[in-house]
Parts: sequence; structure tokens; C-alpha cells
Amino acid sequence: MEPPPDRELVLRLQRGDLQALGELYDRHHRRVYRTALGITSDADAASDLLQDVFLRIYRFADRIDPTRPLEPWLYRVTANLAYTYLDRRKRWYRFLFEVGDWFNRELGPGPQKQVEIEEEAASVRKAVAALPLEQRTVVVLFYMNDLAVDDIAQILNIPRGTVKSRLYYARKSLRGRLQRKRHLKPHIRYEYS
Amino acid sequence: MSQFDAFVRSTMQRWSRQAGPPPGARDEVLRRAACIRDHRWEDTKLPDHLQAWNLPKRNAPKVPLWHLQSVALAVSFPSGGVKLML
Repeated sequence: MEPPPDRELVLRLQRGDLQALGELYDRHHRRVYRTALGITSDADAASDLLQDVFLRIYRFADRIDPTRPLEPWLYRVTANLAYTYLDRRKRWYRFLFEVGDWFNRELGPGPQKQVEIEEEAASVRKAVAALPLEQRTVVVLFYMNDLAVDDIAQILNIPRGTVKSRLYYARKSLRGRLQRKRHLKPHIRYEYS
Repeated sequence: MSQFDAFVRSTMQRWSRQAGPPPGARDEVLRRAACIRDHRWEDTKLPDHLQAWNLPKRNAPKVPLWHLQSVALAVSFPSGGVKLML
């Protein structure tokens, strides 16, 4: 049996159906969580924002246009809430100091190769977290969520050229930081030299 | 896609696969949604910084420039400005 489309779930939600909210959560919570995590670099904040996004879906279901795709709306709300979070709490700098500990906590003893991979990943995450917020959001949507430039432009309500420009400068910055950390393999480094 | 893009993408996607909300997050969402439904706001446990409910409004009309100008006029020239605004 085909799962009901988002449109149908939103219509049920507008009638107050909590089960529809659960189904929407099952379908979309990963992308909401990873977007929030990518922007805030804070697992606790990402969990809070995940909750808030889905509570907003429920609370403001009547404002959602069921004829339009839900995903852009979700990304937009998630990004806006993440901005608000960062702006009000001023905690975004925490990443620089704490995210290393956070990932180290997840690292178990393992082969050297695994450690290298994790170090490489941590460097990428730190480099992303150090980007200006506008660039970071575009990077999270583009790389982490696999969204196209046009989709990102629609979600963030900015011109396509602005998305491309932010991606360009973000890549440049990431490349610089990763090169300094020597985490780029020679063939990748060469590509941008 | 360039190799650099592929490298960043695979690294970030690995990160996102490893990370996830805590267990029980779904139940908590549904519990708090039920609180909203029943108007038990104190039980929604919304963090202070998320109380604003500043949801983006779809197709919301933007404030036209002339309106802002009339407000500015109202500040500068109260009598004339009020007429303009009315």
C-alpha cells in the first residue's frame, strides 16, 4: 500500500489528527535534524529545534498550503529557527571549542584508519562551522541535504546567483582551512591549486 | 561534481547519518502536540527562545515603500503625516 502523500497528511493535520503528525515526523525528521545540526553544530540545539519544527507544523497547520511541497517549507522553518537560536543564544561559537569533545565522545577504540577518517570528518565539520552563517546554511543544504541550487534559492528566498556565490566563497574557505590542516588528499588539493 | 565537492559531501553525509535525535523524540513531539491541542501550554515545555512562533508567512504582502515614507512623514510633520497615513 502506497504511503499517503504529504498533502494528505497535511490535510489530516489541519483537522487535528495527531497520527498524521507522527507520520510526517517519521518521514521528515532526519532531514530536519541534520539541517539543524549542520547549522547550529550543536546536537542538543538540533534536538530542540527538531521538536519545535514539528510542533509548529501542528500548531500552524492551517497556514500550510497542502497543494505545495512540504519539504521547502520544512527547510525554511528549520533554517529560520536555527538562525533565531544562534542569534539569541550566541552559542554558535561553542562549536569551535566543544564539537571536538562531542565527536571524541562517540569515537571508540578502533583501527588507525578509522581514527584518521574521523579526524578528517571532524576537520570538515569544524571548517563548515567556521563559515559565516549564510554560507554555512547553503553548504548544509547543498552538501548534507543534497539539494539543488534552484531548490536552495527557493527555500532561502534568495536569487540563484546568490546561492552560487555563497557556495563559491564557502568552497574557497573550506579548501583553505582543510589545506592548512592537511586533510585534503593530494589529488583533491591539486584540483583547486 | 568535482572531487572536492564529493569529498565534502560524503564527509557531511556520513556525519548526518551518524547523528540522530535522542530516542523518544517522536513521542515527546506527539505529547507536546497533544498539550497544544488541549491548550495545556505550560506542559508544552517550549524553551523561552522558541516561544515567539515566528513562522515565516507564505505570500505575505511586503510593506510598500510609500507606506514607510508616510510613516517617516508622520514623524517629521505630524499633522500632514497623519492625513497621509489615513
